[in-house]
Amino acid sequence: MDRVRSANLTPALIASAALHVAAVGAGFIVWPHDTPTVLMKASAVPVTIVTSAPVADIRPAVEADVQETAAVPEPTPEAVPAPPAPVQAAPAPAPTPKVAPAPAPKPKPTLDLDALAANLPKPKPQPRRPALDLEALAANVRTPPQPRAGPTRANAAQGPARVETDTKARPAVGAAQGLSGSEIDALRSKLIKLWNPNCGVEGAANVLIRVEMRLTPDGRVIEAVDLDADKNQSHPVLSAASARALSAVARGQPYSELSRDTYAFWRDIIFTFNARDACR
Amino acid sequence: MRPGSLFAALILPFALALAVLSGSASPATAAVEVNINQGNVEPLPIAIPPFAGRDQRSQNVGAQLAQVISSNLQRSGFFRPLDPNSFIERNLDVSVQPKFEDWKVINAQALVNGSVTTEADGRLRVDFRIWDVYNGQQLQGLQFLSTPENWRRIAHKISDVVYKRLTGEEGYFDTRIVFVAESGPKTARVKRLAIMDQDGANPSYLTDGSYMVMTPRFSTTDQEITYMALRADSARVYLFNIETARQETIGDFPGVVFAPRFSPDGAKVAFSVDRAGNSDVYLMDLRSRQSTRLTNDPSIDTSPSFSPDGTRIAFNSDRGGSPQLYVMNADGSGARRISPPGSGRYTTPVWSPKGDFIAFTKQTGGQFHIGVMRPDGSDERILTTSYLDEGPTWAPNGRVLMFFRETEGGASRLWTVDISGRNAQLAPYPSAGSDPAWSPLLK
Repeated sequence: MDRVRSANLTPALIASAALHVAAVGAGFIVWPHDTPTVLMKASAVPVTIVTSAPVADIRPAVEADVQETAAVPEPTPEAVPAPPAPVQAAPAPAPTPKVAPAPAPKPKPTLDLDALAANLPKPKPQPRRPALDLEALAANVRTPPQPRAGPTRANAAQGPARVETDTKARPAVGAAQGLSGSEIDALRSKLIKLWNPNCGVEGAANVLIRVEMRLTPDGRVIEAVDLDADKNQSHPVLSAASARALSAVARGQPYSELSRDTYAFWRDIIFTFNARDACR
Repeated sequence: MRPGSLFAALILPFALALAVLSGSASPATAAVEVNINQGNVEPLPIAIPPFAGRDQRSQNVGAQLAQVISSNLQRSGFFRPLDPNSFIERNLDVSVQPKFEDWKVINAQALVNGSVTTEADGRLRVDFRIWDVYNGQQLQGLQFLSTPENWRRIAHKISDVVYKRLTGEEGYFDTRIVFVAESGPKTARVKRLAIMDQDGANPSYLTDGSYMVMTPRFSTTDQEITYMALRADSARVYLFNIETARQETIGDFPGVVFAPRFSPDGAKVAFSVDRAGNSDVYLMDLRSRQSTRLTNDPSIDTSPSFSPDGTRIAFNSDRGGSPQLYVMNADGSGARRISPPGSGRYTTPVWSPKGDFIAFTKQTGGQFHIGVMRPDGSDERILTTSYLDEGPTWAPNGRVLMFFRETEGGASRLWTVDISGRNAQLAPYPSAGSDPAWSPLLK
């Protein structure tokens, strides 16, 4: 047996074994600096996924009973729970969120303009499409409307004295001779306080929003529209600016600084919100 | 002549003429026009009540959502979230129109309400709506779903939607910041690569501090960064995928490699190589690993930053005698100085993701500034001034910058400032940090 062992342990075998050991050992040697994935320890912080889903199952908001013309809302705590809209089946998830359906259109305010106008002192608001009254027309020719006395006449005739009543406003102011300069000043002052232009966004300096509002004789807003809504709604910055301008107009009501005597002259007012100057 | 003809011939023209005259003189036919060319510029008052939930767990998440959204919007400087204690209407149902009069009383101009629901599969569903209080209109309504532990990301996504709808600008809240977290004494500073949400939440170290890290930069396309690792005997630039932790060096160069930055498509990295005091800008294609030398000047050319369309590179060079900003074509041709002469030393140019500005660090009169200028060098605006402000990085909407500020003898801290310079504030990371890099919006 010993002879067999000694016969197998030849120098060649020993050398071969040593070479194998050396080869295996070499595999465990770390060569410095050349393998960055070994040198650098770093940990992973995966992004967690938020799956977007369609929003069709968001039920449209149910309109509460909004009294548009009420000066002070009636205290109705917990008393007017609107009936819940019908529940729709939850849809399958989809990759992108959608805009929820807008709430149902508001009920038109039940404002009786005719009745209000009938209670007003002169001048009465003119109907939009008056019937042709030859006698009245002839009377108008004989006695065309005269500018009212007071500061308004001077302003209309000579143009605005202040920068705010710029050239664009002149013809309109001239036409609305029933509005005094102080009334226009009061309007401006009110809207300056209420308009919050977002001057920090890119493109704010180019924002110019025109809002036309129609008022009740007691100065409440019946309707206010962005005259350039089509253009503005397609641009995020202008769309946001439009909402802010409309908000300012809504916050300004009631426009009690306007005399009921001259309602016919200020039933429709166009505000031009000029961020070019405001954000300077 | 028939009677009708007589009327037509004699009366009608007269009547029409009268009608024209009368119409032109009628005051009621023209609307009064009033020009408003001043405003009351202030953060928008916004109400964000806790989102509703049917069970206690959902209510807790709903309260946290409202809190995170409020904090995000407040930090932007564009919004003033109102104190929830002032709210009159409570327990809002997202399916029912709010009582706007209650919100007008506290002068909330916008209202964000929502609800939290746990789906049958365990996912969190968050519905929310944005309301214009004074016009009584819904501006937007969306829904997000995710696993419950992702509620913070949902809050950031909602913040982005609100921000965009009410300002018109893209949001930047669903993002992360990679930066160098610093600890220990100045003589033995430990600098680790770290990451956090843009609001400072979920801070985490990416490296263990056994080697120094510098200038991490985010890819604009995915969750990959490139950064410089500095060891006692080597300096290398690495690519590191944050999600998988896979990283690799961009290669070995004779000299010190530094200031790496991705191209807009993420396929290339521009960087500087310093050899015996001469630094030049190189560009490497990450697929072929072929590099091209873009500048060849005996001065220091460094800090390359691509324009968002990839056609130009802004960089910093002292070839004119002092560090100034230059812009060259992406192939290295046509280099020209954009920083104004004689007004200080300009470094670290970073092109805005929108392409309209280049941010920089400026040193003048012993002070440091963060500023921006147009790519042609015009319209320079200094946004900050301090003992040491450096290293600006853009939020993905190109309206907000993060940088680091060091006070005399103090540690460096992360700060943010908007592009107007009006809203500078300490970033919500409580410890020392430097070299921030803002991620793109998460996907």
